[in-house]
Amino acid sequence: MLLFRRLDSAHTHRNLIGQHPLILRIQALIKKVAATDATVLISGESGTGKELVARQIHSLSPRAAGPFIALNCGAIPAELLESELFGHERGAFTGAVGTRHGMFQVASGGTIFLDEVAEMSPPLQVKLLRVLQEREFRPVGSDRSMKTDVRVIAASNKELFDEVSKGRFREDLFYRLQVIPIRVPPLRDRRSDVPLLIDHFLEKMNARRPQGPVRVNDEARVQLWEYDWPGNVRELENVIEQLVVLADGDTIEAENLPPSIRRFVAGKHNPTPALSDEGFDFNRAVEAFENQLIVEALRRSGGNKQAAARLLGLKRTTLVAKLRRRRGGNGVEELTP
Amino acid sequence: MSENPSDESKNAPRRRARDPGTAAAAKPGNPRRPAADFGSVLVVDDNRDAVDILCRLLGTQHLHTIPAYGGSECLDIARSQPIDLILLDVSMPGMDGLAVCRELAKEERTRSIPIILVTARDDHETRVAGMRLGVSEFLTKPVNRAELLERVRGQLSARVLAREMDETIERTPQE
Repeated sequence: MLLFRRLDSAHTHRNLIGQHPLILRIQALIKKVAATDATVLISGESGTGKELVARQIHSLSPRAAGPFIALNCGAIPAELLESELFGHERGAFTGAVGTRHGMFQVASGGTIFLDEVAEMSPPLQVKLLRVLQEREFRPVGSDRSMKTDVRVIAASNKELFDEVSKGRFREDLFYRLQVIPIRVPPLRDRRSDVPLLIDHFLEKMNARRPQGPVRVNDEARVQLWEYDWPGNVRELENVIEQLVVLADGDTIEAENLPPSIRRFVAGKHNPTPALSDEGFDFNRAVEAFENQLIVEALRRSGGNKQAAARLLGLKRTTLVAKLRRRRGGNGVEELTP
Repeated sequence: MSENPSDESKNAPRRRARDPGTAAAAKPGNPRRPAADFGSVLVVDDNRDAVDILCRLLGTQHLHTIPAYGGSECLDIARSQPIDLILLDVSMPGMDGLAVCRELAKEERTRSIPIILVTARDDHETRVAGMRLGVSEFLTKPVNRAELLERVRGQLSARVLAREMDETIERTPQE
């Protein structure tokens, strides 16, 4: 079973994409920290690109010719993780039929990326601390220590400081890991990068599309921009891939977006009105909401009432009656895009 | 948290500035940066009542606000004072909010100030213009208070994070 991954050629040219001031700072910090051998702690929500940052640091470092090994501490049972990290001697435990090298041997001369480091058990945290302090470790079942020459980059989607406060993570290890802290922001806090990322992933996916490239129209693009992306850049990449694979023609429109995104964006523009101390005019609020829907349907249908009525799920006569009713107050002209 | 990197231990725990401006952040004894240090929020609308309501709302979160009642006044203040966030109306007489965004983007000093558009203009063209001008958020009036505060916190957290990263870049040795 391959529990950790080596850096392969497919990953070597991937960089953190963006022009947001925070991304520019992260890029500057990556360049500076790559030249050192300092331990780095990368934090950020899932899907923000923590591993990408670690790979970039490795690629730009003097260790670039050495291996880059990534391991997700949260994905491996605690009893297996020790052996994965430090290796074991033959007969160290039931099933240990032979001697096995751990990551700290395999990655010699390179970089180890420990993702979800907060999930590491307390005994293993002690062993990792020893590696960072003494640059040596002891394989499971062995009575002798081994020297290691690896750079450690750790990452966590949990707030590691909070884990220390709760007594779940060793404070001394926390200090050792975050010699250089890098925090990757969630995509919603750097929304201005969304159009750039859309184009980046579109170009990547289009290159693999035999039917020719697709484009994203303005309305779809603006809805993608307004969405909050709880799964961050990874979610955006997956959505663009899905849109390109499923595209019928050469243009992705708002109607093609996943329903969850369309619902979210619609909710932003039709917020539930807050009831003030004075209350509010129910009929006016409902009328305003109807107006918004009718204007949008007419805009999308190019002013064609039959098509607009179809979009709204109304009979054409009902739509025309609604438009007539508004002629006095808001006027049909106002409702026509 | 000090602005001076030399005041901080190299290994001091660096807290996440995830809730600037909350009442909790401003409580005496809380080691987090006092809310007032999260910078000033420039609130721009030609409707004085709207400015007043927004300033009072942000004030409840101990945030420092500066009112402005038009596009030109907004530009004057952003060019002369340290501003961490602009809440900007779109439909204003004279220079509208989108024109303000274009002007802010031209100058080094004001280019990176995050902008939240707070507008009744919810049409396709205005939203597309906001996206193309690189605004940080687009909120439709009437604004949901909780959502506005969440967006303000997000943008101010990013500003604090940028300052912290500047400190980290500064103290990282070039080998």
